[in-house]
Amino acid sequence: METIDVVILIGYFLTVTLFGFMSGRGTKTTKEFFFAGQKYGWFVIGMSCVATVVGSYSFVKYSSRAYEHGFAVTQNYFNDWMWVPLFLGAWLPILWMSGVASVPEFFHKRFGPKVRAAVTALLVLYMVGYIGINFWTLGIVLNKLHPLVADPAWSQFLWSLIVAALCAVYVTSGGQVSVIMTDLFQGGLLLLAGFAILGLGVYMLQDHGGFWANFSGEARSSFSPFNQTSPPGFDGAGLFWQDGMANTAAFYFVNQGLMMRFLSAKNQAEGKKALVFVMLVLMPLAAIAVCGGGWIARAMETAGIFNGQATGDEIFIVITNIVTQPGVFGLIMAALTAALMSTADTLINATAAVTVNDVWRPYVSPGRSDAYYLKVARWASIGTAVCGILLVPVFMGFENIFDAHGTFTAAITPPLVVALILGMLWRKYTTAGALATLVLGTLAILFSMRYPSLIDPFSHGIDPAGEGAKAYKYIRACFGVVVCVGLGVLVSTFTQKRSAAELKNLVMGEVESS
Amino acid sequence: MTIFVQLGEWFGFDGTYWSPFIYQYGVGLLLMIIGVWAGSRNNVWPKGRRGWLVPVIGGWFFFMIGQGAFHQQGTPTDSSLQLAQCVSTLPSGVVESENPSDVCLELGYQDNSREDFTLDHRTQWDDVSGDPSDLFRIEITVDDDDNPTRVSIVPTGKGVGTATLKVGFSHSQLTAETQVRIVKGQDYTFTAGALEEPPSDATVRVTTVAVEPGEES
Repeated sequence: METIDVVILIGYFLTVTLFGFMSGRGTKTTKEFFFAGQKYGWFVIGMSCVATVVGSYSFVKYSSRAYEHGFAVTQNYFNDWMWVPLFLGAWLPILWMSGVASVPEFFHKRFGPKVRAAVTALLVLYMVGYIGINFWTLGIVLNKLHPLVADPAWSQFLWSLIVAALCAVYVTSGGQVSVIMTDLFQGGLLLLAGFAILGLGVYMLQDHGGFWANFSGEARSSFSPFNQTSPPGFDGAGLFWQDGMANTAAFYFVNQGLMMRFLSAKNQAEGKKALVFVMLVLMPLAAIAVCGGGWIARAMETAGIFNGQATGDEIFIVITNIVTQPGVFGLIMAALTAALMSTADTLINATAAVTVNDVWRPYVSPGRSDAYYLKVARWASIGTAVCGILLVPVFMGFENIFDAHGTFTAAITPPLVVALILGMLWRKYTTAGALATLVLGTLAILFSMRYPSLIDPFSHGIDPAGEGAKAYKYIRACFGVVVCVGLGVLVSTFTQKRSAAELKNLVMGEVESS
Repeated sequence: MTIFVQLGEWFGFDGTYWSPFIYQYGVGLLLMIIGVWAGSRNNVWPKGRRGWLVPVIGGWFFFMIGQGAFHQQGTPTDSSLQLAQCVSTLPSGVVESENPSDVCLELGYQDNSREDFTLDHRTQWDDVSGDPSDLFRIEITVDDDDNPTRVSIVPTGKGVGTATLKVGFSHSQLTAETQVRIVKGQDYTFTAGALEEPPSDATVRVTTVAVEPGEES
């Protein structure tokens, strides 16, 4: 790494941290800390969502997979669209009309405190896990650029720690205002960096027959094979269930960070516009931006420019280094760190919101002043960053970031997603049914990690490609969804339903005109 | 047999190339319908505000058509199978009864590019249906990590003659086959014929080999 790249990278870090700190200085209440005073229009919300949805792991993991599988990787983003009507037609009206401030609060109003407690536990685990994956990604990237110690694992961990500390500084001070303003700035930079790599790579390939001619055959297909890949591990059916169904639904419906972002819009119509803008315009652009490095690597390999000197999670960094000049390389690495900080800051703020609104305020210390809860929120932000760091060694046990992320989300998201979707669509879904979905569903998934043969009937013919928790890493989501729906429907059939009055603004058909 | 594969077979769903597309957009359509229905129950798109449905439904069609077009670009269109000349004294297609011979397999795509599928996990070798006399078998050599490194035709030693090696793919309905001639003896001369040009409407290309008449032992 050249000196100018180091200067740009450090300068960028400090600028964003200072920018976030300054923009959040006026935060005085928990409403401002969590919802930024509900004053933003669709463009600000939409652009800031890009930086939230696109994590640093996105550039690294999608480039790695795009190098191996070409355009097929885009299905992870393009699948999002099928959820749009449900979000606009069911979830957003319920959010606005019920006046809930958090996902667990919705479950409390819909089902009662026990379900809220179960959801809070799963949700915090989900968000802290996401934070851990982001920290690890940046550890990998920065270690590749500049190892701090001889042991790569320790070096990755130390880098993760440094970035987590910087990130926590401005989130702790400014809350959602800082998050939105830094994400708005970084969202644009992310798209710019991704397209810069793609553009520079295409330019380099012009003297070697062009990008399109070298990006040939199976690489052009937009789907990976249904249940057979070579080597096993990127099957279309498994990815569809893990990412298209469970993870996308979790990210848009259950992710407290995204929910708070849409509730920061000045009204429901602006929230709707922001969602359509994100999913129809920004996500396809983001998909191209994060995959571009891998596509260029594949085309360059065919053209004989790139000889596979890097594999897996290092592809993005190596290709960026090949296509850019000193200075630009530093800026793109800064964009990568921007992606990390933007995703992590949202999740840190969201986890703090859940801690204050769903644990501290109702159970630990009710009836205190808003200033007190604001102080707790700031400490919770620091605590969340620490927990994320502690999870980094767990994820380091996986072969690559894509697998770690896929395995984690396939295991944790199905109970949350099923409970929320059934809860908002089916008025006969009972409290006992929701508890069965969350508790027994989670236990069933944990059991499937010990006994993967349980997933055999749902495998779609996919090779387990591993043992224990690493077997059926994507298609486990299908098993989880089917089991959770089955448990919820079965138990609800035989238990007490709630009255229409209790379900006001909480379930489809009971929402006041929106 | 899994529940989903069984269900799929009942509906004529064979798990090959277009299956991910049909499967994903089938489930996606169901979710779209549920979402639009939920919105109508919640009065999200009343008369005068149904303009929201244009980007909602139109966007989905946009993605479907775009993904379909790229998937078509990466669709395999033909396959070719040949026996490599790994035994220097023999022409392609002829296997000595004492020695194995390597096999090469390629898939062709719409963009006229070709990819080597010899060692691909999705290739399904059939050394039974075209070899009723059991003259040869397919042997796949693997490395320490169980990854295939070589595919060979190994004579079984049960005789000489001609049989057919067939191949299919788990992700495509294409097939390919080639004649395998098992011969005995060491010394003969031969001439190898050029590869047969693929017929314009056919998807299979077969290697042909001509051994000089009377030279086989």
